[in-house]
Amino acid sequence: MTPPSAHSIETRLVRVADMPLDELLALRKRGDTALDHCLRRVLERASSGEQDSVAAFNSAPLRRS
Amino acid sequence: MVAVDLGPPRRTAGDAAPAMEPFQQFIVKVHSRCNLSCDYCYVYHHVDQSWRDRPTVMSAQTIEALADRIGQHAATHALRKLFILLHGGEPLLAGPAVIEHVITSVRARVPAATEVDVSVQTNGTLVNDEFLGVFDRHRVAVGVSMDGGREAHDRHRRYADGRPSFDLVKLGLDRLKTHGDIWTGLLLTIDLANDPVRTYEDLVALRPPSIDLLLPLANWVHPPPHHDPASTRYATWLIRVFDRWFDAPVRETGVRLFESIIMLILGGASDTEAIGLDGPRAITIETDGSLEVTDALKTTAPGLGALGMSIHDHSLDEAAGHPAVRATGRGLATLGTGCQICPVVTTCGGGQYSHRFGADGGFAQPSVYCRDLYRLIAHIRGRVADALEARGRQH
Repeated sequence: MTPPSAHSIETRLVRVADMPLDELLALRKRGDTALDHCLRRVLERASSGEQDSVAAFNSAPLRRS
Repeated sequence: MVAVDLGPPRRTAGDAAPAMEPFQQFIVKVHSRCNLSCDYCYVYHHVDQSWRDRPTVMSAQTIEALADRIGQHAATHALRKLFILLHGGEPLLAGPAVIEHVITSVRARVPAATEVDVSVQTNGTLVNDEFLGVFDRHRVAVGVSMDGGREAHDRHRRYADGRPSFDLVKLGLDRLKTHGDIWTGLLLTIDLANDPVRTYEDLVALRPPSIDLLLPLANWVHPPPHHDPASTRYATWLIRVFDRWFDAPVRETGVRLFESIIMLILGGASDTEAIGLDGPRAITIETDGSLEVTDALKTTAPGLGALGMSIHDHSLDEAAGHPAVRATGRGLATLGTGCQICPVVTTCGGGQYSHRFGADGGFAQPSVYCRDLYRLIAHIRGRVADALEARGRQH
């Protein structure tokens, strides 16, 4: 089930522009494709209300995911 | 593939000119020299030569002053998390004791509630058991710079006497891999001379947790190699890697640039300042304690990134209020008119700040990679839309 905080995310996809995130997440497959990974991360961040992270400096090391 | 109508820009967070924001990311130059002399290096082979006047290594006195300032800043702004990025030159030249001193001093000065995430970006040639011990003890994330397989890597990443570095970097990676999850990934600087898919597959063969693909640091005054405003060769290169990565049935590794674009398209946030309207909130501290906006400005004009401030004399709040720092804040209002009305602006964010530097000495231009970024984002948006629609049809 998608946490309430994730429902308000506005995607920037045009063909599915009006599809809220919970519906997008319903399209996740059980696998671990690159797209599944990104969907999961967007959901996790929205669910946790995480505000502590910042965009990395361009030459910064990769962070643990 | 479906046609993707990019539509009008959506104004979201960041519409107003950015207010003074506390720093959350501290790029600490623990050593100002490097044992390699990569021909594209922005520190040594670009317009700013300020490294010549810096101490080679950060002194104990400067480390203590730095820790004090960061501790004050974290307390004042009740920072829950901050990021210490040990950088250089080659930071491992400073030695394990200096690196450990920075980490322990900062962690000792910040409030108990502040998490300090420490990482180091190294060329990988100097990794030994002593460093591994420090990284293990302090849970340091280690990123390594590598440009692909042997041929691609050694094209640029060489010692000053011309010797290649690939074998030593590979040895360093092998050592890092024996220590759990301290190795977090590889940074690659794009060279159009290297085949994109071959380069990606050479990196994936090393099994990195993540990689990032960096556009060469460049701008309208100092354009990137093979730059032609009428073509989009960097987009072509990146799209070939993207399709290879995106179409893998199981995600082989993370690619920070691509995942950031996808997450922005999905309404999330970017992991990198290279894209999006999420600012890095970063400050650079040189080996003598002087403060600079961002390292990448070394590729614009001599001294342009320098604030004329030092942690020995100024608080980080004073630095955060400096006009040059505030100018680097992200937001639609900080972008040129062309960017503000662009349909991909909320994903692109105008690209990296230093890439916008123009002949007028300002940053109101689009990125020197504007056309490449537009084409790359449109491609990714189309691929993601297609993939989700295909899943919807199956649903």
